[in-house]
Amino acid sequence: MATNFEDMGTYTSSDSKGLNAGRVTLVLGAAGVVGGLLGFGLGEIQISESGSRFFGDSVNASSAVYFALVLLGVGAALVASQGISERNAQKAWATVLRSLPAILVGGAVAGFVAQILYTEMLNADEIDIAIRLCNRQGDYSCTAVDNLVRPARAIGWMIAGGLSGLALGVGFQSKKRMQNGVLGGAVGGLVGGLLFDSVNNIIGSGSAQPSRLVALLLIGALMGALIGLVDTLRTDMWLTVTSGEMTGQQFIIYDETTTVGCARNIPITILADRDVAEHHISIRRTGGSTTFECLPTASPITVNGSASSSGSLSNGDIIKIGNTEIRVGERTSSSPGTASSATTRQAHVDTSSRPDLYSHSPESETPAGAAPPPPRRNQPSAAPKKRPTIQMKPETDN
Amino acid sequence: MSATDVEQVQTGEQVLPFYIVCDESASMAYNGGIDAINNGLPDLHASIASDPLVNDKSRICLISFSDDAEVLCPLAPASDIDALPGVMEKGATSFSAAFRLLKTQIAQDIAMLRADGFQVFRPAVFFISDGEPTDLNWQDSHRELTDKSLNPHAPNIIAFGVDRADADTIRRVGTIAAFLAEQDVNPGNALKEIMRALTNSIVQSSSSSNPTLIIPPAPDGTISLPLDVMDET
Repeated sequence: MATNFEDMGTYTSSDSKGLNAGRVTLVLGAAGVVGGLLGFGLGEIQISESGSRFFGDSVNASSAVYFALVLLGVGAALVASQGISERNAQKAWATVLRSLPAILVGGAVAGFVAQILYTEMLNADEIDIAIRLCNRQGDYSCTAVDNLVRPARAIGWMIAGGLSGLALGVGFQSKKRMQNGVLGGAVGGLVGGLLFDSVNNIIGSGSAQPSRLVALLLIGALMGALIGLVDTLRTDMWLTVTSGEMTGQQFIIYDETTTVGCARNIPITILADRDVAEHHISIRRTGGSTTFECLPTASPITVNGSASSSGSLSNGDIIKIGNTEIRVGERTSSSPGTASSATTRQAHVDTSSRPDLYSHSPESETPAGAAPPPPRRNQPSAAPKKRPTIQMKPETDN
Repeated sequence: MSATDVEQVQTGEQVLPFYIVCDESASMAYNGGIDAINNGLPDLHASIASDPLVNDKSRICLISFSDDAEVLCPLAPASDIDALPGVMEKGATSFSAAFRLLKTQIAQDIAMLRADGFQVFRPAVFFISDGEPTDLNWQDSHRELTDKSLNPHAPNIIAFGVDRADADTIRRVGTIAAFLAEQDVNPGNALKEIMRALTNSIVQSSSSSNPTLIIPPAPDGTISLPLDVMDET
């Protein structure tokens, strides 16, 4: 596994200047529902009429297989959702494949541990008494048993949710997304687990299958939505594409270093812009400040109209990578998206490695060796926006 | 046949058309390329227009390209040009757009010159770019332009690359010469030298009654690239 985690962007569309937190939560919640459906289908492989299809003689191992299969569906859907929302199938597949081992191992561990806890927490005598009481009273839904089972089941699902969320972060190779995933997934799993038996009672079918389906849809939705909620609550910075085919797309900056380019396997992928290099810029967040650096072979970007190869970024800055304009959003004490410092800081023109080969040219106006004063952010680009008219020198008579 | 072979033997005055094809992709703004070219155009004009023989024997056309290509200055004697639109920062780097426009423009210009009774020498193209093409199929349009079996008016191309231009790409664009700015040379300054070299080439090529394209030596700060295929048909 890479030791230098890069944060991955996330997905939503918004015309507003702020981060569309509701959309992030909704997308992940919807992905969780799809994942729950997938997880249900996969989990049914393990369930047979006689009990468990695999490891039927060991309830712990059997539970491990079931959870691994269910979380394979839920986790894969959550992980793939970003690539799908970006219409980037390659990223979707890559992240799923990368997170697959973590999902499977996490699911199996969660199932195994949850089953042990479940068994340990349940008092067989208490359950037996509760069941006899229910039978005597004709209470066949037997909520008393549910109340005994519920905490154990909830804790089991909390572990499963947390590990599934962890796998999400592994898929994106993001430390912060692992943290968000563990937190959101655990809370989602806990709430879903608490509701599991209630769903069973409400459905009230003769078969446990419909109950499991609804419960897993609910758990998936809660896991996704809560991971999304934690993501947005813990977000300090995001980028919003404001031009080109990806207009409206938002990317959350998660960790210390984020790569932006057109490559399909990096955190923020800019599509449909041929002037964007595969790895164009690296955004680094340290100590509350954000800087960027153009990567080798990539052309400089413009920041608020000034070309630069490195510099700082802050809320409201408009950066242009290739032909794609992107607004920097930052959570500040003031309202998000305002160009608070865009006109006060400087970008740096990279001329450091250029020798002063032709600085003798009297007409020289272009950078030549000695770096010119860095342009102010609010200066227009050196290039004319309107085609200039070049007056020819007066013709010399014969 | 020499690099300046006569397209069609006619009895009229001989002229050698020059096409200056400039990349005006966005990157040309920050590396000083736009300014270097625009600043070099008046000098180029003055050098040509001030010499009656050079002025008579040469015709100049300025073409720019980025997402698409356009004729900024139609083919004309330098003395007829009072002002011309300069290059400006635009979008991507479509070589195909440039080559397609060149093909049609050269055919039209040659037909017009012949109709005016001129004996037209094979056109020369000075192709300037600072980066990799952003279109994938540029080699098809390049072949349609430069393959004499496909285009009877195939020009001789001298290619110049600066900044992020790739040596292999530039040498494939050039049909008779190709030059690449050295990596540690400021692109804007390299382009100034290229504009000087280009001006000298036009002046020297057109300064005799029988114009002959003179390939410039490598401008300061550039290296001459071995060509991919030397067109000798």
